[in-house]
Amino acid sequence: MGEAIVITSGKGGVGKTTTSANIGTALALQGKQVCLLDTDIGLRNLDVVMGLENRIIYDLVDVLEGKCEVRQALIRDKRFDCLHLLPAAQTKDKSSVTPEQMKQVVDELKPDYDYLIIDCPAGIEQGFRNAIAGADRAIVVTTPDIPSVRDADRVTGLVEQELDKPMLIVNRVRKASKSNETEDLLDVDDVVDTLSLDLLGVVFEDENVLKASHRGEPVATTPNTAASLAYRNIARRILGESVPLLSQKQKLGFFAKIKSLFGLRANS
Amino acid sequence: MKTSVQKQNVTIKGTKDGIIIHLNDQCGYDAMITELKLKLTESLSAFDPNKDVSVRVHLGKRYLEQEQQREIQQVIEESGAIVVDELISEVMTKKEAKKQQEQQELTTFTRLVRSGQVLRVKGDLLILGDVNPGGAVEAAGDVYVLGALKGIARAGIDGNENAIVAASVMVPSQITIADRLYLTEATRAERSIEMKKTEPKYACIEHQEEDIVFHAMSGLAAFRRDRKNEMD
Repeated sequence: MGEAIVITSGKGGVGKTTTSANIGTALALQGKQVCLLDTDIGLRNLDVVMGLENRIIYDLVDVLEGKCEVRQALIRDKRFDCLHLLPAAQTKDKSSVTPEQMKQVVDELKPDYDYLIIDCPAGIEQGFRNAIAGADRAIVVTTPDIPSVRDADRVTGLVEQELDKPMLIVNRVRKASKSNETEDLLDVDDVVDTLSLDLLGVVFEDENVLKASHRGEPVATTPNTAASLAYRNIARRILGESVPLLSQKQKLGFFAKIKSLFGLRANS
Repeated sequence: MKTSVQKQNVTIKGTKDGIIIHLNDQCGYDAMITELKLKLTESLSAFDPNKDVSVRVHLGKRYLEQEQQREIQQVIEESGAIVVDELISEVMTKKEAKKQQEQQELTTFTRLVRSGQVLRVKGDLLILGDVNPGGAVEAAGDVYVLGALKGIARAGIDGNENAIVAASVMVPSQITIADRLYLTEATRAERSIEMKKTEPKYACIEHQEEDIVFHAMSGLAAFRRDRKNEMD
């Protein structure tokens, strides 16, 4: 029986879909059976990030309306046989699905997979209710800025009414080039303090993420980029391994720089 | 009335604390009112008509409805230059008792109050955890936060001006006590510095001041003592 994990954030544009795609891909890289569920009905994106948009025949709403079986709507990933996607409908809106129906679909898929990654839409309305309905646990994604942390706090409060305390991913963290620059930004510790959640991972700002989603290949598949490593570490933590946080490594930046000078790989 | 020993239903006594009217709690209400009227007319000469005399009325174990309380007060005050200071009864209804208990109760929450969440109690409120920006805690009495108060706190929401808001780390975005409002004017940078070095503080309304003021927690004992003395 698999575990259903919902990826949520409250605010839009902090990287829910990218995170969903990459965690799913990284888990598949570890050989797990993974199904991605896009619940952002009307504004689906996950298929595009995964580069699977041209293969969609049936979608989530078709399944719920009985036009097809769940298995017919699933799309197999180009790269990994063990990675599937259930796309959202583009022509309907959030109100065409109820939390009960969502739970039914999730429960139907769970026995066939190790992990179900549910990509939640922005906001705290119907779409959010649908997304968390079938989940066993939640991951909250935030960026290190005040509006996004505020929304993450709000959404955490709502998640806690239904599920256990969520895990936290701080996304798009900028590596401070000058020390004084950091005073104007929240650092990862501030975010963790405010939200008082367990940190599942830190993903640094990395232009490779953008490039990868442009190509329709999640960055987790590319070797040696900072973001790719971060997502693969997150996947390992989800699997229960204890992997040191990248943010701790950042404090050793000086040594890492020297190492890289000598051509050694900075990250372990 | 054929009882051999006529027990007085109304006695008026002068004590060093002022005049006290005792009303017997065993007789009928109407009989008591009649006698009260009679006694007051009789003893009216004892009061100085040019000066307001204040009296306290002891009701014993009699429970009076609001309307009856008003009637007694009216009867007494109509009879001369008398002002009823207080009606003292030994009994109250269960409803009143429950209300009073709620008002005096301290409710404890062991949790983080997140953005968009509101906690409200009728007595005092103790939060073991932070109140995050966008979160609100409200109490008819005091609000205590054993953690960082970064959101909104409202104390004395039913109008109690003696209520306070106390916090281990005091960086609120808003505090309301009774009808006074405090809005922070600190910038985010200032608040984040304050958050790191701050000492426990409490916020209160001071008589001379228009606004809510903040003090170190060490001053709270004196503040409480002063307010208690004022009330007695």
